[in-house]
Amino acid sequence: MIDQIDLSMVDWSRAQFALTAIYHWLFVPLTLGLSFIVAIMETIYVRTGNPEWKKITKFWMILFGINFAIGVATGIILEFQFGTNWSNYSWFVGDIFGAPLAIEGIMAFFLESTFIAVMFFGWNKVSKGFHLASSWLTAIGANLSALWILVANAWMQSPVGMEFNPDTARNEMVNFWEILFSPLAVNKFLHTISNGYVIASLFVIGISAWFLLNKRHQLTAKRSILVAAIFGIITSVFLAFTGDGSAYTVAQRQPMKLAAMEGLYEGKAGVGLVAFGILNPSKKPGDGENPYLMKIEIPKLLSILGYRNANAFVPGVDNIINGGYKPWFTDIPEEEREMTYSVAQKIEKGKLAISALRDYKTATKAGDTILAKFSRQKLEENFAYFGYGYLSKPESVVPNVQLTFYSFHLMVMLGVYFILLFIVVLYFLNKGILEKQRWLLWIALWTIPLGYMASQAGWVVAEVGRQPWVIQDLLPTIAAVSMIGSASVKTTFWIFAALFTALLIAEVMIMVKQIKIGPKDGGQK
Amino acid sequence: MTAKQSKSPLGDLGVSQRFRGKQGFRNLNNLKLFSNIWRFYDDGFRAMTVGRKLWVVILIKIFIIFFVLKLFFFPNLLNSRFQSDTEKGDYVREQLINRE
Repeated sequence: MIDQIDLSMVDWSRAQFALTAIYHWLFVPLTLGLSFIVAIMETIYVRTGNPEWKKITKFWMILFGINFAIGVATGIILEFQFGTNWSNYSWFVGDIFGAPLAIEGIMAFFLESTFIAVMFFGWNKVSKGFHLASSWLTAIGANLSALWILVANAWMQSPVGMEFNPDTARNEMVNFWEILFSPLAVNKFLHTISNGYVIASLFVIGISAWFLLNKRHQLTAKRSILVAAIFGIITSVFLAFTGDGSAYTVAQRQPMKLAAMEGLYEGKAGVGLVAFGILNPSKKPGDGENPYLMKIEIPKLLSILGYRNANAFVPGVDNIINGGYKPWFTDIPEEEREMTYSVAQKIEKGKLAISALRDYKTATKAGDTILAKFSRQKLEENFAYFGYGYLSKPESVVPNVQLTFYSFHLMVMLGVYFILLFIVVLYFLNKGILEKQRWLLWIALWTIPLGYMASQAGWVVAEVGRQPWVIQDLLPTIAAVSMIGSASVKTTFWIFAALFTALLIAEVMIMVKQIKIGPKDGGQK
Repeated sequence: MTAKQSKSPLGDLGVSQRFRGKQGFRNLNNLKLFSNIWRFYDDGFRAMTVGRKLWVVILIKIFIIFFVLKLFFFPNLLNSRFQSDTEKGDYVREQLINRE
């Protein structure tokens, strides 16, 4: 019997998860970055003994606290959705997700929440050194929280370190370190946290610019800008560096995502990177039409980014669908690289894997050990393509190219702009004339939301670009979703929209009020 | 000599035999430690201004998340339908086979 899936259920579940994740990601990056900026400012205070730095630290600490308080527990709703809307997926991933999330909860959260109390309650009660250590440990704890969930997400994009158990229908972790240190996990973690650091820097500079525009707390503002601009330059360059690393790992593990990021349909050797482009909205895979209405390309750069070789072959959407090319794996000699299968061939292999699972189930229930052994072997041989067995046509592997392409390019363009902004702000600050550059101060203020846009665009690239896969090559969304009606999903979608919007409004209102009050000698708890 | 008759601080506190001697000293230190920690949090929460508003937001949010959303809208599907891991595994395996 073939279960009929309500496709609206799939779409509403995806939409609900996307909505929750987007809102969650509005709060998290500022926590990640502002915690470190506050720790740096407090370090300056402790080293210099200058009470002005204490005032500055306490002011930004209040804003950090507001963001932390509003954002806390917003991520837990994503876990609820795993169990309700994505039950097949949550079982299928086994302890791959369970272990990292458990570590996140036990270690990182407790580290964070223990020392955050000292941060806020401990002024003048504990020693300067202990208070400073608490601030650093809070920052480290927040970033360690991010590590484990990002490791879990990286595993979805490139599943490693596990074996599928057909008896339990679960993936079992066999190598924790392979999962933790997979190149995709390392790059994803470093790129994501440095994104938070850039957002926090933009936030501090933008708010400080507002103070300068209003000729208030000018010393606080300039000192805050100094710290944030230096922190911002360093972390935004690191962000670009890790972004390059991310693109490299995506090229190796998720070539279709890279093709979508660049709107590349017909691959070739020595492909250029599209610096700016407008896609042909009517372009379809295999139609031979030009994918772009216009583009400005940097020659050979995509081959260099993806494969560290200017003449590397970068497959496009059509190449991946049709197969028949040798992938450019840098860690495998060319003579050992095998021709890629077409998606149609992968679908056949996936169907073989699913039928092997069916036969294995039948054989074990009947006590037929020979058939069970044979079926298990067939399953293992074809498991790498398991998820393809659920696809109805080869074009199903193509994600939304338009959304992925424009999100990627928006993210990169804004990233370059942020680096320039930090440099220009620091230049004028160093010259002692920043407060006179009102045009620049307004730009800095209005750049705050652009930081969030770039951040969200990055997640759209990561998560839309991996579609239709929930787990790359192993489980598409259509097989991962629960067999429940879409009515409750629609209801909770709107509840979330209302709840998170209310939280966001509350945060903005409380923050704006505190910013208008400005730094105080004693600060407010 | 009873605790009340003693001139020692332990007697003034009316503290029992638990807090006498070496072990008693350790017990007293532990009690002081917990007391200090409690006072630390108590003073901190009482002195809050912005924090009080934030705590109201946190508590409302957590109530909605755990006692409304989780209870009424997000039951764990597998836990609510099946008792054992074997049953859950069999169900998911059927799903994986039949979704083809």
